[in-house]
Amino acid sequence: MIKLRIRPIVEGREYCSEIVLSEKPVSLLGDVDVEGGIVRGVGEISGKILVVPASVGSTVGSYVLYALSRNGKAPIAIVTSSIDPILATGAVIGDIPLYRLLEPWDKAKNMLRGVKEGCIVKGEYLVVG
Amino acid sequence: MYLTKEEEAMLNGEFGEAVELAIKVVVKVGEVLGATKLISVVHAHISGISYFNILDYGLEFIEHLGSTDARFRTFTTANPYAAINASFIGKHFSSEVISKQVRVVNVLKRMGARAFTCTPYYIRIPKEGEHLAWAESNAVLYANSVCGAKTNREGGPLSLMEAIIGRTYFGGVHLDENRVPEVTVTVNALKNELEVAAAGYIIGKYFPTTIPYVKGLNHDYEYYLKAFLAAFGSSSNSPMVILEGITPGYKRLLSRGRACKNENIPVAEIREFIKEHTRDACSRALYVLGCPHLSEKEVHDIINYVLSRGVINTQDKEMWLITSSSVKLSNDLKLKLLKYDIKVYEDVCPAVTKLSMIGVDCVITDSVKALHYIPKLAGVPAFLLDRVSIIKTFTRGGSLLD
Repeated sequence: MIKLRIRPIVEGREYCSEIVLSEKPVSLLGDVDVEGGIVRGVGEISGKILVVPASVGSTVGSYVLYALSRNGKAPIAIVTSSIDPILATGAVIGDIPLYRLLEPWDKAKNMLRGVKEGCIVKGEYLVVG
Repeated sequence: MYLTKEEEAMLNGEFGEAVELAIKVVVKVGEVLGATKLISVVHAHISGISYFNILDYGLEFIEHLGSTDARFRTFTTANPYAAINASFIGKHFSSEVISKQVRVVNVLKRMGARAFTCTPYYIRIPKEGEHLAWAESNAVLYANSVCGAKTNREGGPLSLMEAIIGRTYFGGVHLDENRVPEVTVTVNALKNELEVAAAGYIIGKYFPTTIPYVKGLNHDYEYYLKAFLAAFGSSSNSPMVILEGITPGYKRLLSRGRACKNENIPVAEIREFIKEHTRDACSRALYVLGCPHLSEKEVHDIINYVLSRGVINTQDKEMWLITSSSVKLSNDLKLKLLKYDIKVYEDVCPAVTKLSMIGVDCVITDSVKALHYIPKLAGVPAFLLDRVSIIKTFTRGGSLLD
């Protein structure tokens, strides 16, 4: 079992789900299909724990997280190394739990490669394996 | 984060759903950025309102807010919207696009937006030391660098939330210790708005995250400063430039700074940049003056110059003068300009408009900011030409001024 330390920015409840890892930053406005709940090049995120290094691109990207929620296609949580105002704004208006990853990105990425499922525990850990 | 009693009440929903959501966003963003409290702002300016940028996602969110009883709690302006009312050589936008953009604008008006412009500093001139919550990079740079007011570069959705609560997080350049230069840049002998703007763009490219102290900038006209800062804001993320002889208290800011490193931007490099991007014609060309929006003085200077010259039948091109409806122009004057194929559009922005949809093949402009954004957002190539040459393309000489 591996425990990765996280800290809640927008809090959610405890849950386990599939993990979707994006190794590269995601452009919310450019890379996300809000109808399908898909991050292009990464896969389906709806109902899953999305782990990304950062978000990039236009500030109106926050609205994309809102749209995902409205369509019932939002991830169940987002875990990220680098939290910026666009992601924080989007998580609040989309009511999507958001966690800052406290481990170095490269270490976390290597640990999460090929991992199928994980759990958010007490808002403090992402537990896998 | 420390919150006042009123702010606690906002967070607990006592001021309604929209205020509760809005303060939650601002508090979370503030916490992420390490702020310890919120501060009231005297003016909020919202960006991200063009339907072509926010699409149905943004429309839906803004309409959701509009369905509550949310009102802006401070003086609020918004960016210009897509130029849906415009036509180009007889071609118009579809009714679907028009109606979706109108819906966004109507909600913002109902919530209390006073104007739609990218130059909110002409609507209400910020005073030195005032706290603002502005999105729109050129306006942020103008407020900090020319007016001496204080605002971070807010994102579109965040600025909307800040307008609803009349507050922002206390961080970034609201704090005096963050308003200090880190490099000195000298630019000498620039001769027109295009050279000044190109200098801004190049400085921004070299220093994308630092506040530069800029010496020697030609500021014979107010719009040179506007063009310089708008171009700088297109290539840099910095919210401020400290301008020699312009920025209020610039000597005091310098004394606190670390601007010991000196850089010089050679005029040759600036002219090379302009040369590389200059083109004076293409088929179905749209010539744009007014990115950022023209001031009242600029509009009248341009119109007086145009009317002092003769009419040319141009056929496959148009010129748009872009400004805010706070600049009052008579219909008579607009009709006179139409003879030259020059149109005045108010409260809109061609750079956030899919110009390819109305058959524009290229944009020719005196704005380096437009040069940067038009290909990305409007879907057509853009080129540079100085203001006087653009006007001469649409008018016949022979007057005393020529």
